[in-house]
Amino acid sequence: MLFNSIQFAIFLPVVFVLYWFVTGKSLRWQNILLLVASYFFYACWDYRFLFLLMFSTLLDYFTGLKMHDAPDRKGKRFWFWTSVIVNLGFLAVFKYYNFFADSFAEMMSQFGMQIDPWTIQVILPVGISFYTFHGLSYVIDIYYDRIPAERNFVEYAVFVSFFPLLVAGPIERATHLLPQIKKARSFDYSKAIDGLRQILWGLFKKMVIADLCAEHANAIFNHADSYGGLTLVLGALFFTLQIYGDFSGYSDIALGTARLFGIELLRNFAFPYFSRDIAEFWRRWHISLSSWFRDYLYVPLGGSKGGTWMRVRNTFIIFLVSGFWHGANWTFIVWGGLNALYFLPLLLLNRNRNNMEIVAQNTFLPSVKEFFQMSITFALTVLAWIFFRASSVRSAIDYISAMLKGLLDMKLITQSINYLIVQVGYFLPVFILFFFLIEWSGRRHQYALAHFGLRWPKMIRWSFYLGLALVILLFAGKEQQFIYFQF
Amino acid sequence: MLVKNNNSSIFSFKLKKFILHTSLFLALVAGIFTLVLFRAGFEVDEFYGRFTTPKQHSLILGTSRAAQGLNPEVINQELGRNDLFNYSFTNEHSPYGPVYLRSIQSKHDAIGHDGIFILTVDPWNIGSDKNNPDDESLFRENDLMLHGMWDVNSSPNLLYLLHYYEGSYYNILKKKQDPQLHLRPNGWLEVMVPMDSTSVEKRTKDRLKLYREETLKRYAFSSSRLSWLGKTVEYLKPFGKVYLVRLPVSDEMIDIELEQNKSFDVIIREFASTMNLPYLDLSSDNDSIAFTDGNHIARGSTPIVSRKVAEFIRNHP
Repeated sequence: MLFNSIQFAIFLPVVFVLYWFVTGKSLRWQNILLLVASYFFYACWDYRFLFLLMFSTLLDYFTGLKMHDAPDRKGKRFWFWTSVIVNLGFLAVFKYYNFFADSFAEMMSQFGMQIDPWTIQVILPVGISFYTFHGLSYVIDIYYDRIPAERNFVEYAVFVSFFPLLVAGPIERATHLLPQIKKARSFDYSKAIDGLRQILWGLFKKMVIADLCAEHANAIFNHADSYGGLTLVLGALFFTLQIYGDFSGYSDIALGTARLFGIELLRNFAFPYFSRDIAEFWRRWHISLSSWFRDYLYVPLGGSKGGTWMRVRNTFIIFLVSGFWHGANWTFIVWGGLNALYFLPLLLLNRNRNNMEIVAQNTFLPSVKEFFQMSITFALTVLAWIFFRASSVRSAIDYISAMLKGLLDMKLITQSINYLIVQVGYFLPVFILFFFLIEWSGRRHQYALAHFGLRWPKMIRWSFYLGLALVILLFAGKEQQFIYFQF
Repeated sequence: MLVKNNNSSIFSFKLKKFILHTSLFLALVAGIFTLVLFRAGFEVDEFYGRFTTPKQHSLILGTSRAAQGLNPEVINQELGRNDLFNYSFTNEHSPYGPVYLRSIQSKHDAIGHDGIFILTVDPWNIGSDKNNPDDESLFRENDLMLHGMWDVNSSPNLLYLLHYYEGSYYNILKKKQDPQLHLRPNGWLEVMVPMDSTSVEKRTKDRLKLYREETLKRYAFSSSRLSWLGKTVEYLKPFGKVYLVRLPVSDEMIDIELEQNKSFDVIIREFASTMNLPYLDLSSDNDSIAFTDGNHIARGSTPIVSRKVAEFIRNHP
C-alpha cells in the first residue's frame, strides 16, 4: 500500500475515525488499533514477511527484558549480542548475502578460479533496514542503561511497527517515540491541520516533482549511451530532484500522518539542497539515519575524540557503512566513499561545524558567497548521485566521462535544448521553480509549507491548498515506487 | 467530573470540526477531479474508448494486429451492417485465455443469433511461456489491465481512469491526444506513423529484431490457449457466426512465425474443421499490403484487408 495510492486514501480515514471515535477513550485500545492497522498495512505488501517483522519485534522485546533483568554484566552482554547477531543476521541474509556471494565469485575469477556462487532467490522484505535499526537502537540503549526495557508488548510493538514509519522511516528512537506511545493522546485541531498540510506538501514533492523528474531521469540514465554532455547533466539533475522529492516527500507524508494520531516523529530532512558545505548537507539529509550512525557507530568508535587519523578513519567508516546500508551494490559504497572524500577537507581544516544554522537566517536572499557555496555543494551532491543511480560503478564512470567530454560540444548542446523543449516541455520547469521558491521561503521551518500563507485570509489560503491538490491530481507523473522502499 | 465533560465536549467539537473541514475540502477536490474525468473520451489513449461503449453485438477479437488491421466501418459497409466493434488489444493483454474470455463475455451483448465474430489468430496469441506453455498461472496477461477490468461498458470508465490510465489527467482536461494513435469509436486503432521508406525500414528492423531475439525465445505453442480459443468460440457460437482469420504479415515475420511453430497453420486448420468454422489465412497474402513495421498493417492497407475479410464472410454466411 503506497502512501499515494487509493488504498491508502481509504485506509487512513478509516483508521483515523476508529482511532479517535471508537478507541479514543482508551490508550490501550488506541495502541492495539495502531498495531493491528500497522500489521495490516505491512501485510498488504507481502503477508509472509509480516512474520519476520513479528519475529524481529518479539526478539528485541524479549532480549530487552532479559538484558534488563540480567543479574550481571555477562548475562546482559549475552542477550545483547544475541539480539544484535540475529537482527544483523536477517539483514545479512535478505539484503547482502547475494552481494557477498557474487563479489566473492568475481574476486576468485580474478585469480583464475571459476566459482558458481550459490545465490538465493528471495525478495527483499520491505522496510527491513528500517525496522532492524529501530530494534537495534532499542537494545543498544538498554545495554548502555539509557532506557529501561519496555514491559508492555503492545506499546513496544507499536514503537517498531507504527505504520507511517514502518517501511521507510524516519528511524525512530525509543527515547523519543516510546514515551509518546505510552502517554494519553488528545486530538489537537491545529496539529491535525498541520499534519494534513505536511501530507499535501509531501504528495506534491512525491507525485509531481519526483515522479515527473523520474520519467526523464530514467529515460536518460537508461539510454545514457545515446546522449552526451548537457543532456547527461540534465539526467543527473532530474535524479537529484527525484530522490529528494521522493524521499523527503515520503517523510513529509509519514510525519503528517503520524501527527493526525497525535504522534510527532523525528524530522528527516531540513532543506539539504540549501547547504553551504557537505557537512551541513549531511546534517540536513536523512537526519534520522545520519544521527543513528553518529550515536551508535561514530561515537562508540571514538568519534572526534582521538587524533586526526582516528577522526578520518571514523568518518570513512560512517560514510562507507551508510552507503552499504542503502543497498548491496558497489555503487552505494562508492557513493558513500565519495561523500567521505568531500567531507575530508572540512574535517582536516576543522570547518565541519561552520554552518549550523540555515542559510540566510535573517535575510530573504543569500549573500553572493553563500550562493556560491550552495552551488558548489549542490554540484558535488549531483555528481555523487550519479553513482547512487547508476546500475554499476563502470556505467557511472562512463556516464560522468561522456557528460564531461561533451559539455562544450555544440551538437550535444543542441541535443539537450531539443530534449528540454520536446521531451520536458514547460510544465515541469514551472513546477520545479515553484517548488524551490516554496522550499526557500519555508527553509526556517519544520517543512516548507508549515507557515506558508498562514497570514493570508482563510479563503485565499484554502484556495491555495485546493489548487495544490488539483495540481497533484492533474499533473502527477507516472507512479513510481518510493526509492527508499528498496532499502 | 464537570471539567472532564467540558474537555470531552471541546475535544469532540474540534474533532467534528476537523472532519467537517477536511470532508468539505476533499469533496471539493473530488468534485472538480470528477468533472475532469467526465471529459475523457476516445482520445484518452489506445485502450480507454473500448471500455466506454455499451455492450456490443458483433466483435473483432485478437491482438494489436487486429486492433490496427481490421476496420469495422469497412466491414460493416461491405456487409450492410452497423454493429461490428473492434475489441482487440495487444499481444501482451489479449491472447486467448481465461482473462480475455471473461472480458469478451462482459463486453458482448448476449442477445440475438445474428452477430458476427472475427477471431484473429497467430502463433503468438496462441502461445505462452516457453518453459511451460500450458501452465495457466504463467499466462502473461494474468496481472495486466484486462484482468482487473471488471467493468468494460461505462462512460466515463472510472475503473480504467483511476487504475490503469498511465498519462497525466491534465491531458484529459485539455483533451490532448497522442498524435500518432487515434482510437475510433468503433474500436479501430488508427496509427498515423510516418510511412517514408527510411522510417518504415527502421521500425521493421527494430520489430523483427525484437521478435527474433526476444519474443521467439519467450513463447511456444500452447495447447491450453488453443483450448481457451475453443471455449471462446463455444461461447460466441450461439449468438451468431464465428470466423477465424489469420492476418497478413511481412515475409520476414512469416519466417519467424514458421520458426516458432512450423505446423501452426495445420493445427489451426484442424481446429477450424473440428469446430466447424470458416478459416481465412491471409498471412502470406501480403503483395499489396503496406506494413508499419512488418507486423502491423498500415492504415492505408486496412481497407484492402478489411474488404477481403468482408468478402470471405459474405461467401460463408
